[in-house]
Amino acid sequence: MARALVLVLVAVLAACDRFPADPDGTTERVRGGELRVGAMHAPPFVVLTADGPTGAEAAIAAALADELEAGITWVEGGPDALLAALEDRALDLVIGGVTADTPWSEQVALTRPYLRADDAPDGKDHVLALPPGENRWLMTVERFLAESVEPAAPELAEAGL
Amino acid sequence: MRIRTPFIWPPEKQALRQKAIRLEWITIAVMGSATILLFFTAGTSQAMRTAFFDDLMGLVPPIAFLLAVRFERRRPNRDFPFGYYRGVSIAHFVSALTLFALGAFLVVESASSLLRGERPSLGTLTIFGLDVWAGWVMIAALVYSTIPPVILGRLKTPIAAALHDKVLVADAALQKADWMTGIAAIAGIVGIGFGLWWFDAAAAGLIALDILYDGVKHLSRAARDLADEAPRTVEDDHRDPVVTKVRNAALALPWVEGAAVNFRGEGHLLSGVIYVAPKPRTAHLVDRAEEVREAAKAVDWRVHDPDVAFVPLDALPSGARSAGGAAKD
Repeated sequence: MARALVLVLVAVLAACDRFPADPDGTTERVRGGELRVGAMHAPPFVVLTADGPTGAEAAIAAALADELEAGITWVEGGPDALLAALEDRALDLVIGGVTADTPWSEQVALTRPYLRADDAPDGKDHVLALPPGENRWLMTVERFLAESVEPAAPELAEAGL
Repeated sequence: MRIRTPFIWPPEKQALRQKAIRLEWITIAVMGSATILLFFTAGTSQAMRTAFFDDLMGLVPPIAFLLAVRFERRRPNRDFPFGYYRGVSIAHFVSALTLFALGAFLVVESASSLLRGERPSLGTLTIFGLDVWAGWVMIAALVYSTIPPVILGRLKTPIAAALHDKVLVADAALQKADWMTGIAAIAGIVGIGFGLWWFDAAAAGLIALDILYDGVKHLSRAARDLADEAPRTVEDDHRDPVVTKVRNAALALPWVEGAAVNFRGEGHLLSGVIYVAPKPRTAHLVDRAEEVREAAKAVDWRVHDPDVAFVPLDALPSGARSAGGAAKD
């Protein structure tokens, strides 16, 4: 038993660059491809305009797409439709003032807060919603948030996002 | 009312008991800390939550054991003229019920999360400024929670057998369940890491079936025990040979023509009635009864305060006569 466990761990470590993996390969597909973003109206985080979504989280999504050299397909809608689509993995990301205490936390994956409750105007942890179980994708987005978004988030919030 | 004489543990068993008590306190301390650790790292992994509940439930038998020991020490009194020895049987029942409930709960949980196709999401955690995959942190927590039950379970098993302590046996079974769910959870998380979202729930489900099986086994034993089943051995659940030995000890007395034994388990102890048919014109029956009791107690340390009833020979089953030789109990 112990020996088998060690073998498994060695195999795991050897495969570290692809570990954890996405069951559906979201990261691979988005990188250099297309990022499907669901945007719901939630000013100041996402403001839906005639020219497409704007606001702090729309900017985050655009920067993420840039980083991954992907194009963005915007899908605008309400929370129920967008999060249900996310649960079915028809979207790669949903933005629009999602907080860590959302009732959808069991059905979809939530990133770590990019904006902490202490800094947020509504006193809640603000997160992005991702398809469930795509763990490499979750890690990729969280790394991006940690490097590019989290450090600047408090000043951003002070400036009204 | 005649209040029963208290049971005095033989010194070497008493020493083992002290060891068992120490082990149970260690179990509570170590498993308690592991439970707290798992609670804070569990996240959305099914097998991980399973391991958390398992560790939590694992605290029940040690607590039940320590309570039973505490009660067992009390002397028989006017309210409890038979003493508190049955407390051990109750603790066994409670532990068995815990094991059973845990197994049943886990089977349902893992089956439903498999059927609903729930995909566990594990992101990153920041530890000492480093962003690491939450799966690694979980595995570390699981390894910590898996090692102690392996060791503690191994230390308890021989003591359980020597003391005929069913609570310790059930406890050891739960500890086995504990480390097995730990291993399954580790495998599940590694599976998740490889992109096999179902692996976690499937691993948890297999282990849950094993726990359920142990639970049913112990629940049945504990319930039968409380319903005064004829004593059975702790190790393999067979008829306890002590009962036959007591009958043979009674039959070996020169004035005894027939004997039969109705014993039940009272926690660690065996007690009940020894039916004796004396040969015709046997005198001093009060002294004779004491002889039977002494002979019975000499058979095994667990025989405590049996009652002796004098009956006519034809009130005993035919196999109970001394001349019969191949008597059955």
